[in-house]
Amino acid sequence: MVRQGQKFRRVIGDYKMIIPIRCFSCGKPIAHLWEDYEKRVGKGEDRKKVLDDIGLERYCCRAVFLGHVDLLKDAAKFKKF
Amino acid sequence: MMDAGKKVVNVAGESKMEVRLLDKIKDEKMYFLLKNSDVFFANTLRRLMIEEVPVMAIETVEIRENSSALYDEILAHRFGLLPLKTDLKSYNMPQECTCKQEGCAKCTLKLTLSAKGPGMVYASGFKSKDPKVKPIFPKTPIVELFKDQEIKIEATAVLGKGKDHAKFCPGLFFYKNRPIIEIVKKDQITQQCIDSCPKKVFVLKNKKPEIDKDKVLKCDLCNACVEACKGAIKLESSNSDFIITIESFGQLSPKDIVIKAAEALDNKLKEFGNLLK
Repeated sequence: MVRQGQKFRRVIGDYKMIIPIRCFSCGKPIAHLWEDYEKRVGKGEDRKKVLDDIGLERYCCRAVFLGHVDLLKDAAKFKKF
Repeated sequence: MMDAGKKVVNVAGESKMEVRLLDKIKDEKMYFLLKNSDVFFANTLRRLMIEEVPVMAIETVEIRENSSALYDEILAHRFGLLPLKTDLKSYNMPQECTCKQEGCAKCTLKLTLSAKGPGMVYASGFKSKDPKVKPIFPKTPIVELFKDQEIKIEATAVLGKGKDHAKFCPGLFFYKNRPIIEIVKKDQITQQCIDSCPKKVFVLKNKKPEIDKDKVLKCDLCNACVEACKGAIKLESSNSDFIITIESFGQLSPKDIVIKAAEALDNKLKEFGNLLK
């Protein structure tokens, strides 16, 4: 049961539809950096190097990028209530 | 410590406040040194910058059409958080405007956005009535539209203050006490002491340990050097000098933020003075 609960929480925790406009903690606008980051990481660049390059120095902003999963495409398959 | 010889002293015998620009990175970041002041003043400045400097942001949104995967509320929230380039000269706060909060061209700005899928909708898609005020980061993704999805939005931007909503914050502002580092016993300083500093404040000059004057202000007061050298280095933090960092989100330049904050303090004190009369 405990294991199930953990699994469930994890799904909810990772559930972000689209990159937030601003950092959750400090409020710095970050969304405009996302596509560049995604492209470069997709090419196989080191995440640390990319984050340093695009100018995210605090760990709050970096965490938003590292933990983000784009799920809008999946969510769009279902009807909105 | 560094320039104790040329202290400016006023009539009462107190040292005068001094401001020195340390570094400036584009129009985003500014570092300056506030000398001969105190924590109370530095903190007042910080609070004024966060909550009293007006900045433009989208406040009301009229959604004509939204068949995207995101709810109307999520869209409206995302619009609100978009930083808009702010022109303080041509706009008034809605509460202080001559139109008595009816919403005229001097206190409100209409922006429209309409897009059809498939494709990503960016902040650059916003059409603003005033070419000066528009989203600062045009590459900000707002929503991804898929086949047969459409959004049509009319938004109204106003000036607001950070105490009403965090979206009206012009930037980040923080300070630290100025570090005072002193090498007490030069002969006891080993290579280990010099390497212990993560900011590399210490350098060897002609085999003698010295403090790098350019890097002293980068010291984080982490105490690593004191622990590594056991009494050879003295580290203190000043109670009157502060290193202040301003990081603008882009709506205003860091310089404008400080000036506006100082004006806000001035107005508050004037109001208080008038009430006392």
